[in-house]
Amino acid sequence: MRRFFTKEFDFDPDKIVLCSNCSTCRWTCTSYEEFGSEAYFAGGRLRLLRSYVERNLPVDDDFVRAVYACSTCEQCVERCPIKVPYVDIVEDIRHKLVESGKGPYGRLHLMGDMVLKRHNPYGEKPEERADWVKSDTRVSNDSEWGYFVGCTASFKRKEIGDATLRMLNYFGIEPQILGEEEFCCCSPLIRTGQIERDVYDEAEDGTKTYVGRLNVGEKINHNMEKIIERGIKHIIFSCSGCFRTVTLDWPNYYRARGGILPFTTQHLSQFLALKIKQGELEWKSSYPERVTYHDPCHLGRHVGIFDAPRVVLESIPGIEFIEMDRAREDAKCCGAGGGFKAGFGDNAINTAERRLEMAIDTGASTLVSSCVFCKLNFMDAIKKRGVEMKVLNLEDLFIDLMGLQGPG
Amino acid sequence: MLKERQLTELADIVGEDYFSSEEYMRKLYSQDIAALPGLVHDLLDTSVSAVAQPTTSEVVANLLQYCLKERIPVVPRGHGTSGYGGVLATKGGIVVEMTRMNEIYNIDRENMTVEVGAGIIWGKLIEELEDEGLTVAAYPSSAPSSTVGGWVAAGGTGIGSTKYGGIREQVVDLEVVLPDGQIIKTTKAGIGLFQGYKGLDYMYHPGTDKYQWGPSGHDKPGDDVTGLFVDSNGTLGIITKVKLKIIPLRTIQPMVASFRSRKLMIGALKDILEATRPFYLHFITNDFYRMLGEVDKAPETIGEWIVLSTYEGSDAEVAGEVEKFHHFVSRYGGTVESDEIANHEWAERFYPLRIKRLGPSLAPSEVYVPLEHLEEYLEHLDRHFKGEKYAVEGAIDDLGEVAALAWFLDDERRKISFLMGWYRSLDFIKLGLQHGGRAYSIGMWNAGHSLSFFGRKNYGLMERMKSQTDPKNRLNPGKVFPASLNLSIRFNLLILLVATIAVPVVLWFAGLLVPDLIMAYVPWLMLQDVMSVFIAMVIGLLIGVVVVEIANIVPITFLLAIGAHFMRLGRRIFKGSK
Ligand SMILES: Cc1cc2nc3c(=O)[nH]c(=O)nc-3n(C[C@H](O)[C@H](O)[C@H](O)COP(=O)(O)OP(=O)(O)OC[C@H]3O[C@@H](n4cnc5c(N)ncnc54)[C@H](O)[C@@H]3O)c2cc1C
Repeated sequence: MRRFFTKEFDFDPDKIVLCSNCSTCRWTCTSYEEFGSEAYFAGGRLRLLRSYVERNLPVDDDFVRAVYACSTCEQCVERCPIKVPYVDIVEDIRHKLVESGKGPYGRLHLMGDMVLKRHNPYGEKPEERADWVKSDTRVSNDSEWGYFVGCTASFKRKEIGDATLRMLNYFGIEPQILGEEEFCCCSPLIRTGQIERDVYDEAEDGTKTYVGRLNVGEKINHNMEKIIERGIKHIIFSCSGCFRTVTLDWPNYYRARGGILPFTTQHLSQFLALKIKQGELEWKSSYPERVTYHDPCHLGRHVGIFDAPRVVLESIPGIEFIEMDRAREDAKCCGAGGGFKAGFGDNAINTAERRLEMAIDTGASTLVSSCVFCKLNFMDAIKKRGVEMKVLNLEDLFIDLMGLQGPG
Repeated sequence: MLKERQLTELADIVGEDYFSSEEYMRKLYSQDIAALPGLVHDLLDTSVSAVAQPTTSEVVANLLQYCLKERIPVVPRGHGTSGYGGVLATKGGIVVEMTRMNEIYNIDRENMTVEVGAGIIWGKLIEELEDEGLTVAAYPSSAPSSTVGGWVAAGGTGIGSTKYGGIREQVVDLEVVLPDGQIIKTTKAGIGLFQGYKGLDYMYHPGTDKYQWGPSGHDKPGDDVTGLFVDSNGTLGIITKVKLKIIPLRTIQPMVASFRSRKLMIGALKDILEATRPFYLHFITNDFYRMLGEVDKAPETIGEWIVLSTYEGSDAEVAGEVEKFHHFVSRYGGTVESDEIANHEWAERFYPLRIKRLGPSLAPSEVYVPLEHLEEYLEHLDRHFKGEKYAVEGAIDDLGEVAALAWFLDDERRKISFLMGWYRSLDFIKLGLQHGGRAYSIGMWNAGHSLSFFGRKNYGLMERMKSQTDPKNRLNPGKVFPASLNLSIRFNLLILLVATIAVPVVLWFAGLLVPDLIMAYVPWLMLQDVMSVFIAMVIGLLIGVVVVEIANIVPITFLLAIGAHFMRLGRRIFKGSK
C-alpha cells in the first residue's frame, strides 16, 4: 500500500481512511459531553489527525490536548457501524506523540518517570509495596494462585488489597503475591502512549540530567519472569485496568510462545460468579437495599465481562438490583480511565457526576462497581455533589456481608 | 482573516468559553462529512477564522448584527453530517455551530407538538419523547448524530417518511434569526417580514373589500412562511428553535421480504405502497446485498433483492397491514423472511455506511426518482456506470418518490482517480433528473438545481427575501443561490505562474514554426532578446490576472457542469493507475 501519511504520523492508513465521518460516535462520547466541540470526539479527532498529517502541519499543543482528552472508554467503537478501531488508533497517536517528544500531555509524564525509577506511577517506595498485608491474612510462596495487586491497591487504596486477599482466603486460597518484585502492569503508560522514552530529572534551575530509558516491555517482561519463576498458573485481579492490560496488552510484549501467556487471568468478579455457580458461596447476611451496577470500561467493553458481576449481585439475599439507563455494552464512562483523570482532573469529576446522575435516577442507595479508579472518581463526584450514595466495589460488599473485616 | 479586535468582540458576544479561533478548531470546522477529493481542497478555500457556539437566540441575534456591521460571512452549522457542502465556507468568516441550543422547551400533548432548540440531536429527542410515550413521525437515519435544525435546513426524507412525509411535513413553526438580527416566528411573522421589506409588495395584492378577495395560499402576506426556511440551508436566517409534530408511540412491526429479480421487487414495491401504508419502505439491490455479504453483514435471505417494510399503528392496524404485505409478497414470488431478520434490518437502519470497509472510501450520491421510473433508471445506471463498483438502496416517501442513494466504492488515497470519480456522483443525479426525478438536497454542490428544486415561485420568494435581508450575501454564501468560487490563494498563484511561463513558451514555439507569419504581421511578438522575453512574461502575467479574475467569478455549479465531462474522461484514463 502506498504511503499516505507523513513520516511523523506513519499510520496504518486503512484504519483512518476507514472512518466515514458519520459522527455516530459523537453523541455518547465521554469527552464530547464534557468539551462540546468537534475536536473532542473520536470521529473529530480522526478528522483532525487527517488534516494535520495530510497537510503536514506542525503538531501543536492544542492537538496534543485534544488527543489526550479521551478516556479510551470505547463507547465510540461500540457505536461505530464500521467498527473503526478508534482506541487502538488514539493510543497509537499518543505513542507517536511521545516518541517525537510532543507528548504526553501536561503532567502525565510524571507517571512514566516514576515507573522507571520506582516501578509504580505514584513514586512510592517499592519496598513498601506489600505493607498492606495484615497479620491475620495468609499468602504463600508456592500456590498456583497468584494475586496481582496493582499499584493503586498496594499504595493508595490498601483496603482493596486486603478485602481481595480475605476473599481468596475465605475460599481456601492462599495466593502468592509478588510484593516488592511486582512492577507496574504499565496500563497507565500504554494508555497514554509512553511505551518507550528517555527520562530526565529536571533541577530547579532547569538543568536536565539523564536518568534512563523507560521501556514498558522491560517492566512487563520482568513481571512475566517473576510470575513464571514462582510457578503461578492462575492470576486474580481486583483492578480492572491491570486485568485488561495483562490480558490484552501483555501478549504483545511477551515474545515467547507466540505471545500466549503461560497462565490464566481472571477478574475477581469472574472468580466470585464461578463460586456461586458451583454452589460454593453461601451469603451470610443480606443486603436489603436497591443497588445498581456501573460497568468499568476496561472490564466491560474492553474485555467483555458484563455478566459475572451481575450474577454476583443478583445472588445476594434481599438485594434489589436495578440497571441504569445505560448499562453493559452501552454503559456510560465515569471518566477515570485512559489518563483522563490524571490529565483532566476536574473534567473527569464532571463526567463521573453525569454517570452518578443516572445512578441516582434509578433510586438506588448503593452504586457498585469493580474498578478502583471508577470508585475513586465516583467518590470525588459525590463529594462535589454533596449527595448520599454508597459507592462500593464487589470485594467491599463481599467482606461486609461475609463478616470478614479485619481488625481496625 | 478577521482582525484581532473583531475576534475579541465576537468572543465577548458569544462568551469566551463558546468561542474559539485556534488553528485546530478552524481546521476541523472547515470540513464536512464528505471525504472531498484532496485536490478540491487545493482548489477551493473553505477555511474559516473562528467558531462560535451560541447558547441563546439573543446571542445569535447579536452575533448576526455584529457580522452584518463588520461584513463577516457566517456559516450556520449543526453537526456537519450533510454531504452537499452546505456547511463549507466559501468566503471565509465564522462558523456558528448551533449544538449548544439543545433543550426541549415544551411538549404540547393537546396539539401534539414539541418545541426544541435547533441544536438538539434527533436521537436524544426521540429518547426523551419515548420516555413520555411519544415519538417523532419522521427522523433521518443519521438520527444518532445530526441535529433537528440541521435537517430542517438541509431538508430531506427519512425513517417514517413513507407514512408521514419528510422534514418539511413535520415542521409546525420555527424561530429564526434573520441576517439583520431580527428574531421571528415563521408562522406569525409573515406580514411583518414581507411588509418590512420593500419590493415584495407587488407580489401580494392584498385584495380590497370592494372589488376582490385577497389571494389565498402560500404567498399571502401574513401567512405562514415556515416552508420557505425548510431546505434553505441557512441562507435566509439561522434557525434557533423548531416546533415539530409528534405522534404517540405505538407498535412498530418491521417486515422483510426478498425477491429474485429487480422486476419482481419493483412490482411488489408498487403494490405494497398502493395497498398498505408502511411507516418506512426501503429496498436494497442485489449489488448492495453482495457487498453486505463481503463484510459479513448480509441477512440470510432467499433472494438478493430485499425490501424492508415497517408498519406503525395500533396492534389491530398493524396486524391488518402485515397480512396484506404477505399477500403482495407472494404475488411477486417473494419470500417473507423471519422476524429475526426483519428486526435486524430494522435495527441497522441507522447504519447505511456499513459497507464502507470495502472502499475504503465511499462516494455517495442521492436523488429522488418517481417509483414508476425506478426500473428504467436502475437499468440506465447499469449501462452508464459499467465497470464501476457501486450499490444502490432506496427509501420511498409519501409522494411515491424513491430517494435513491448510491454508494460508489473508491479509494481516496489514489488522489487523481478519486477526484475524477466525482463525476459519478454528479451523473447519478443528472440521470435521476432525466428520469423525471428531482435533486435531493441543495447545499452547495447542487445549487445549480435550485430553481427546479424549489419551483419558480418559491425560489423567487426566497431570492427576494435574500436580496432584501442579506443583499451582500453574507449568510452562508454560495449555498442555494449559486455564487462564485473562492479559489485558494495557492491555486490563484498557480494560474499566474502558468500564464507567465506559458506565453513566452508559446511565442518561442510560434517563432520556430511560423517565423515568417509573425515577422510579417506581429513582428514585436518575436522573441529576440532578454527584453522581449521579459515583455512576453509580463503579458503572460497580465493574462493570468484576467484569468484569475474570471475564474473567481465563475459559479461553482457551472464549473461542476463542465467539469463532469472532463472527470468522466479522466476517470477512464486514471482508474487503473495506482
Ligand atoms: C449516516 C448518515 C445518514 C443520513 N441519513 C439521512 C436521511 O435519512 N435523510 C436525510 O435527509 N439526510 C440524511 N443524512 C444527511 C444529514 O444527516 C442530514 O441532512 C442532517 O439532518 C443534517 O443535520 P446536521 O445537524 O448535521 O446539519 P449540518 O450538516 O451541520 O447542516 C446542514 C445545512 O443546514 C445548515 N444549518 C444547520 N443548522 C442550521 C440552523 N440551526 N439554522 C440554519 N441553518 C442551519 C447548514 O449551514 C448546512 O447548510 C445522513 C447523513 C449521514 C452521515
